[in-house]
Amino acid sequence: MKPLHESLIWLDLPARMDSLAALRAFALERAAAQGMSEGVCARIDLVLEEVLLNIFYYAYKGEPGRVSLGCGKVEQRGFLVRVTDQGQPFDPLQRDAPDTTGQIEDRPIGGLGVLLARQMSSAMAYHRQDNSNVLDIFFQEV
Amino acid sequence: MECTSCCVENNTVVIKVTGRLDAMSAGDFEKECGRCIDQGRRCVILDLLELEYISSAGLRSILVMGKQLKAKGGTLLFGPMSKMVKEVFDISGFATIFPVHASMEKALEAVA
Repeated sequence: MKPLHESLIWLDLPARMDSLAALRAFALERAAAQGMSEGVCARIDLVLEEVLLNIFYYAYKGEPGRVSLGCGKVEQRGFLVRVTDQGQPFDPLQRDAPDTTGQIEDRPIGGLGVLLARQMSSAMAYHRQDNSNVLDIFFQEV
Repeated sequence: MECTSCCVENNTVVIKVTGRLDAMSAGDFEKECGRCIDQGRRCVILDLLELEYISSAGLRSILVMGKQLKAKGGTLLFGPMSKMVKEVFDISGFATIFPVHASMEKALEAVA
């Protein structure tokens, strides 16, 4: 059996806002081509925006860099998006969940992106490898 | 993203937002909301029924507006919303800080 990452199809672009639309379109085209449902594609859409913005702002802190997106079908009716970058070590899964229960005055501005990404994906895993952040995001058809 | 504001009385404005409210469009949305607040509107009803997509950038703009209105003694409430927007509202706990009404009629009644 081939290693998982070899079965993914990749797109590599500058890590900045104006790459967002192309990265998004690439992942959604791959997902649709693999027969993923509209519901799962909508989740991929949202999770990608949240994850990529975090990489632009927190891993690269606005500095120039690259981001790579690998997409492919895995297991039965599953879809994997692997996002890699060479920015500062940044594990979105280590960020504290924001308070979602307080009154409006107490709610912090920001911090909801990671929460949405975690809730809208089926599973996420992070590791640091060869000076790269590697985030695997898995979507399961229900 | 497109937003259309429609003043229903001096104090109240309905803003209908359609399309995608994401990191690219949140700034424009925030400007439109700021304009309404600057004009003295203290009650803002957002109609998100035809909003197909919202990300945390859109939620952030909504929270900023909610806080601004609250500080001025105003209120932000919602009419019906699309399924995707409702799910994002539920996950982020926005459904507990903002009143969400099943129809625009109900939302307008609530502020009458």
